[in-house]
Amino acid sequence: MAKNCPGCGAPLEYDPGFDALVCGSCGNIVDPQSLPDAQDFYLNYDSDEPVDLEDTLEEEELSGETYDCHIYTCSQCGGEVIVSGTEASTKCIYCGSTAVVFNRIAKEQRPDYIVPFKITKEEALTNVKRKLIAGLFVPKYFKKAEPTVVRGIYVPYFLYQGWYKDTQRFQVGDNAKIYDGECEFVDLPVEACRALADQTSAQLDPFHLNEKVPFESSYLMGFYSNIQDLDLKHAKGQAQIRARAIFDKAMLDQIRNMKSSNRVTSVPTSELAFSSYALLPVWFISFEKNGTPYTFLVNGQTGKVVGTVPWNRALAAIMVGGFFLAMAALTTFIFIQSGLLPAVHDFFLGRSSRVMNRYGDNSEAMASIGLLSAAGGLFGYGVAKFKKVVRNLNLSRSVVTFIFSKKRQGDVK
Amino acid sequence: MILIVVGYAAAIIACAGLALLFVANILRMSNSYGSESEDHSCMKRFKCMDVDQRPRL
Repeated sequence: MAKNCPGCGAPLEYDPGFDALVCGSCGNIVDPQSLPDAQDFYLNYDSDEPVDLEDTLEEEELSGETYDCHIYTCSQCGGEVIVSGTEASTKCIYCGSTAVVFNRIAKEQRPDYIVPFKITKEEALTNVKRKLIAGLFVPKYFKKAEPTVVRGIYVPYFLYQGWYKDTQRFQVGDNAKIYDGECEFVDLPVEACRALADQTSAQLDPFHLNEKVPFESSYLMGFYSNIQDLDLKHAKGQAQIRARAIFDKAMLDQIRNMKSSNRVTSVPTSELAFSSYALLPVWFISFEKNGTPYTFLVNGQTGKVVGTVPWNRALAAIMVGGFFLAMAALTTFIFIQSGLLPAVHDFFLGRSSRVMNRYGDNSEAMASIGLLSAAGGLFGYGVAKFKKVVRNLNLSRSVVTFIFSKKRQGDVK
Repeated sequence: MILIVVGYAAAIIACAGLALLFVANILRMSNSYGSESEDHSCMKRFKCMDVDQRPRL
């Protein structure tokens, strides 16, 4: 499905900087929409087997035109990508393995729309490097590292439209409030492949879908695309989950004086229907350290960077210790200035009873317990927060490939 | 007296908690990129009403 230059016949590649196909040989610039895919797609015909009516309706929405593509498979993690044009895949974008082999020529579902790349490879790389250089806890070796793989990949999404209504009851103490809400959704995006974790996909948002254009395979030249492997039934469930999350957030923003924990009942109803199938642009940029790939994703339309990097543990320990000592010194200084520290000194020298007669009574013990509990709570919260951040860093570092690999191994349904 | 001693100890413990919180936040901002978007332009015509405030026929 390569597109060749009408001038010299060399392969064309889509250049986001020009928003056009550019010939690497003669420099010719060609409008992507001016090279139709007439030779690339065919009509699908269903078999005669009887099927469920609902299935038929959903199948019919997706069945239709297809286009030829070359599918490459990684023998390490099982990942598959569609390679467009004359290029061959040499490294797996998911796990970094070089064990990538050409698998087959297939006919993939032809998307209705595509959001072309607006961010160039250089801009995407600059965005990632800027983040790495600015990161206080990013190890030095990572700041200087060069990426092993930089790939522009079109990720398939199903777009849904429809309405969503909910009646929610909130309760704070004896005070109960009931709110009715409704909204419409237009082009609600749901990822149509399982290669990316839902969390990663949500972080890549927003895509400005008002900039989508009718699909032409010319836009794929020089890029890969993910294989659509989620069916409409599963995608509809995802659409409802996503619509609910967006709706609930909007409702809480509107009510203001209630929290999600105050919500006691919810009666949602919705009618969301698949409207179109679109490809959205994402840059995959992988670095490698000690055989471990670290993949960053960059929204190919907005330049937003998603990903995590290893952290400098020694520096983190020094900073925690440093901040602690500085604040402890300040606290001690305040105690000295206010004349309280000598009393502490007296206490530890066993003269507490004399001082106790002067200062203390039983109510002080109760207050002490309260103070100590509050301090302990703050310390516990600090430890929990630190652990959570570290856990999230470790989890999301490999989240791009984790779900994908697990799915291929059959552990994730 | 106990209150002063415990107050001092509590302040030191709180300092440790604050140091952890502070560094955790810097670590998150430094090494984790991309938060979930607040831009939900796919949602149109959102309406929300307190049922008690709704005009009755």
